[in-house]
Amino acid sequence: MNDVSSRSKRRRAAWAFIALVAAVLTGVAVDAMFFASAPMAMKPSAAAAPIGIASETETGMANDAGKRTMLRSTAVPATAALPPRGTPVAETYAQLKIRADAGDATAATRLYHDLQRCRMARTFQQMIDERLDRELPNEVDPHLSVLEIKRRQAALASMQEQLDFVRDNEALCAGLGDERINSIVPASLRAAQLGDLKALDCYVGSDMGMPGLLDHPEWLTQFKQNIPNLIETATRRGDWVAVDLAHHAYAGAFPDTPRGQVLGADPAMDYRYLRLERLGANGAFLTKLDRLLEQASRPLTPQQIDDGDAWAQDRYARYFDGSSSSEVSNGATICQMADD
Amino acid sequence: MVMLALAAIIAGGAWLLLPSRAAPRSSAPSAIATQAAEASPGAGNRDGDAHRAKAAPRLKREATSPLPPRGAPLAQIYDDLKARADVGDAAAASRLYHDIGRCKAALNSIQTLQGVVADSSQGNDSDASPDTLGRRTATVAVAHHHQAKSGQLATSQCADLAPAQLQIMPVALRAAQLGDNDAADCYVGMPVTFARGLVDHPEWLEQYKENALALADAAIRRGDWTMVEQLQDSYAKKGVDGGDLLHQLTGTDPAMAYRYSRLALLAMAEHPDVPRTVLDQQRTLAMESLPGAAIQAGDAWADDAHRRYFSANPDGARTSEMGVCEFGHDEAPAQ
Repeated sequence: MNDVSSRSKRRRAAWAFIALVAAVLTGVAVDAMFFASAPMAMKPSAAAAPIGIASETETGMANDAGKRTMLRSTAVPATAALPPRGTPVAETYAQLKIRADAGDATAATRLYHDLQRCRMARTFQQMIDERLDRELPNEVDPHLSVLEIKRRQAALASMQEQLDFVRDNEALCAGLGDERINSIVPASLRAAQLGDLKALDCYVGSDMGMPGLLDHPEWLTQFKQNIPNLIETATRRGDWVAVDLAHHAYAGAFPDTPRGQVLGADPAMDYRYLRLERLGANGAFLTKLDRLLEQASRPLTPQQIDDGDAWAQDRYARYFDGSSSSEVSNGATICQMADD
Repeated sequence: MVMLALAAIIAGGAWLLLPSRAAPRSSAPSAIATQAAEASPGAGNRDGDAHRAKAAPRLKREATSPLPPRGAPLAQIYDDLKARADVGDAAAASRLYHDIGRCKAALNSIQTLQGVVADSSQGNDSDASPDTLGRRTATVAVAHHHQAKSGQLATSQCADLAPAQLQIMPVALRAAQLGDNDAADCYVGMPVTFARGLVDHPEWLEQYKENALALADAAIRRGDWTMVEQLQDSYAKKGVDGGDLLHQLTGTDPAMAYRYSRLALLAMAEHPDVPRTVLDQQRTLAMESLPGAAIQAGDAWADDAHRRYFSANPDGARTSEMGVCEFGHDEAPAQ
């Protein structure tokens, strides 16, 4: 079992895509995550309503430093209408950023989602370039098996979807330079701080997606400062994706990723989030969570288990009552484009 | 640009035809470093001279004593190896890099495989077909097998390691500076997600900016085909790849991508089954998207680099059949 491979172009393309579409599959290897979630990423998410406003009580600060960070991030009401949808980001960027920096949640969420679309369109274009010759060779091989023909048909259909997405967003993303696209990292943080749960899940979960990081090492410090509070905020808003992300990080499943490094393996915390997830689970997901809970509880004291159970019961009753966590049982795709 | 992509794809075929890019020979350098002493054919990168100047002071020293026995617990030998690596002992630096990599892989896979086993148990057995049940059972059996091997390694060699002792990025840097091609490939091509400790050490990014291209250049001059592939791929890449530090450093540069794809194709053209005309085809394709001067410069650079660094070493200069930054259970550490 190996850690990482960047040997083949296909694998490297996968890295690029994983940066955008991180599917959270419990305990499944990264490659499997990529292939399992790729089709979902093509579809805009249905619910995109931007956000509520993150109040002080919602932010659930874990410590004083975190409280200061989040207090500065309190949203303010939007003061003006947003630019018409589809307006090129190159034209709206400066205005939206100023408004987002001032606490305008709708502007922050619009900027984030527009940048996400452009980033994904660019990645799809690259993938199409790389796959085109493989899937559409100049000479047709008359001896192709039926299985291979079907595989190519599926691949071409997938490429067509990608191409449609690129074309649909061509005007939106025209003239947008690398620096602006790379600002997706601080843009997603800002939108997350102002209450956009999709941006929050993407910021927390897309560990691999920090374009421009080499020129902005301070993003790592910001990531470290904000992750615990963002997870707490999301949990208090009933976000199962964030719960699942926290469980994986505390379980030590991805110890080398920025999220894994910030949260670190912590069996007691893993048990809490797993327990919470189980309270909302049903069907086969229960079996899986029971097995994971059994593993997670082994190193814990009875007191830690009791505390974890009480914490999970309280959270579920207050923030998740009635909702099902099974939505994340087969992979929750994050960094989707909201249909805003 | 599409034509250039086609040219790159042609070059990509070279990797499949090369007999082996991972020559099974020792990677632990034993002589004084030559990475900064050789003249360049025109540089593996445009700032090659500047990068080599930075790499120059880090000269290797002869190993002063034997390495610890293979399989010795890393926690017990870490400090000694680290101290020796810091003063320029290339063999110690290589050993440390490979041991940390193997421990990281073993410890990570134990965790990952637990998830695989749990996932395989998630399905509803009453509805599963015999084929599905068979596949699930096989998956669990393989996972258990790997878990056992990883667990064995973790117990025997990787126990009691402090978290900081599993941070591979600075160790890979040191081993790469001292001439280890595997470490150079891993360091230069390191995904953000492999760089444990980076969140607490953002200064490593600055180090990477200062060192990565110099190390890539040095590896090219040692005949490292894997590095050629990484650079060609990085310069040719057009998308937004957040986890790829190398691409963030090189950016997209079709002329540089052509240099490395040309170099790869020169090796391919030496294969008896490959018609020599493939070189002309590549050039014709490149002419559709690159100015003639860039193509001429690329051809000259690739010819010179191939003659000086690769013609005597067609099989590559890495030591492991594993991929970049990959470590197997049974990989023998460099001695």
